Amino acid sequence: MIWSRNFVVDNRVLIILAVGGSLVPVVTRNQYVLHLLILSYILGVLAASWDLMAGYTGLLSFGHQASYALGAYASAISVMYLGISPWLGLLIGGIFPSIIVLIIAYPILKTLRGTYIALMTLAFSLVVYEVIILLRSITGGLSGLWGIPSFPSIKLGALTIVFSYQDRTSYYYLALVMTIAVILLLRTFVNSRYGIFLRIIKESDAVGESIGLDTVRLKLLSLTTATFIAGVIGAFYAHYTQIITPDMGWIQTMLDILLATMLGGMGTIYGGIAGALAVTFLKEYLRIIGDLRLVLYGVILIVITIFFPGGLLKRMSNLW
Amino acid sequence: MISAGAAYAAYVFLQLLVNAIIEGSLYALMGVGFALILEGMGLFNLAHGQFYVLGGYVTYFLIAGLSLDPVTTVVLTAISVFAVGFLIERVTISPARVRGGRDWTFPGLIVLLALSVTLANLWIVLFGPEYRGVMPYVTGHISLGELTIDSQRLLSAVITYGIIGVMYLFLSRTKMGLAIRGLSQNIELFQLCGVTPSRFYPIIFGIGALTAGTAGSLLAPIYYVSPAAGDFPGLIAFVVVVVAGLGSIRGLALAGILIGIVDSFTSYFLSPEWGYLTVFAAAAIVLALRPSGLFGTKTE
Repeated sequence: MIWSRNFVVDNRVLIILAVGGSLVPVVTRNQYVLHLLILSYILGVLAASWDLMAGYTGLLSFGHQASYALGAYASAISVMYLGISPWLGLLIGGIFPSIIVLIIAYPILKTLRGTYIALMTLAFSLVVYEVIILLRSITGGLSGLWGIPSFPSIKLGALTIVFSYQDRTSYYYLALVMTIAVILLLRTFVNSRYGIFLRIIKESDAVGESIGLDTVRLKLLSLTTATFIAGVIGAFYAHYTQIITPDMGWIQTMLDILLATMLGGMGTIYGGIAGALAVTFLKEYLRIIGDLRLVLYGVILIVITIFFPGGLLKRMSNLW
Repeated sequence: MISAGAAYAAYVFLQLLVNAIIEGSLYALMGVGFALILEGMGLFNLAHGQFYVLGGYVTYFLIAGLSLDPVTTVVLTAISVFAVGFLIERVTISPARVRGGRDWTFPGLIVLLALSVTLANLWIVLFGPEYRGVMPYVTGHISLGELTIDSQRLLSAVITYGIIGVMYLFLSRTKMGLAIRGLSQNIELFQLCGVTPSRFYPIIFGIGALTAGTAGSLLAPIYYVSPAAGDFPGLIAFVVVVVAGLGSIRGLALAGILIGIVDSFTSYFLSPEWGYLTVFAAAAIVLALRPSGLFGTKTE
């Protein structure tokens, strides 16, 4: 039975997130807090999908921010220039970077392994960043795209859900639903047969091949899934803030993802969400120290990486 | 009888070629340090460009603050960037290696990526976002027929190729250099000979940082010194190593010149901002056709 005790125990973190998360707007309508929580969910989704590649497949990607930016731009541009619905834009935001990553990653994964992946993904992200700036007639160059349409309101009988900047509650619930959906998807993925294959490949490509696994295809599957998720959440970000700049695809975003994952723990999926909450609020409250904040922030990441290579929370508790 | 158009085309071609060889010296020197760290430690120095910036700032403050002469400045810059690189390895990368165990390159690379962003932000906090100019060490230009070469650029390029030559001699003739090469070839055998690899890692990282810092010092009079000045040279170092492959310093120097040619021709015929992309495209083509690089003697 799905509501058995085991179900509750196995998914306690998810249930806490779903129940606790839904109650937040009931307790507070503070727009600033809701905004920070929405940003936390976005970063959490990025971190969880990055974890699929790094924590489960052993693909150390430093290019996840490029998929995020590509998704945002693909959705914003198709909505603004082709006039399609932002809801469809979310899908386009996921598909567009996935196709690009599939085409580029296939030859790379066939020839290169290990640390070279880190370098190639970083180079990919820098090229994407540069191309976004260069195509300024479509992307607005360095100043970015402004006035991206928001989600149209939904009518459910008597209930009308309006997405407005004055009251972000609907955005908040949308972000929460997407986060929970991503966690469910990723948990199902990593606990499936394929998830076990991925963990075998992470330990050793040779072992994977010796038992007949198509390592390149499995890596592509993991990479494309993560890219799709990053693209969709990027598209959500574009329609939420209604302004996007190429900075989304800059290395600083990767640092946020890394810090969230390292705080929460690699190879956990949930860890990234917990880490993302800490990172977003930490970053916000450290604003008082100005530019020094970004230096401090990097130092924290270095210290955590050195002392807890598997992640901070994972070491501190056996909760998940 | 050569038409005026053809003569002009030939002149442009030669001038661009000369520029490419001069620019290429910077790329080659950056690549040499990057390759050294990659071979010796198995790590991509993602913070390579930041040592270039550090070299630029040290040079700026030695000249503007203490008004030292250029030769002393470059030497002092090299020494101080080596010291910083040595310390950074000891404080951040060594502990990551010791605690990371078998898969230590994973945390190692995260530390280096974090270092690159942290240092870039640190320059802004310490030195501000403004561009700082360094007085040229020599002024004027040299004419070779139709071609004109800025003396400062020529001097920087000659010194840079000189340093690459010294690096070659260091790695092939000195005991320390041979030890570093041995370490990069077979770490087990290295340990069997009774030498501890961890003693060499800070030195390797320090020398890698030194090459980037010296490049920054030599180019400070040509380009301005600014917190983001190292981004492009740092990336070029990856590209040079990808194009050249590992195992030969001569290959790295040649790859530096090749990339200089690609960059200066695209900058002239298209626009400077496309130079960046064509250089990356060239690297991608090389990687697809010859994963071990054009001049590589090792296979990965």
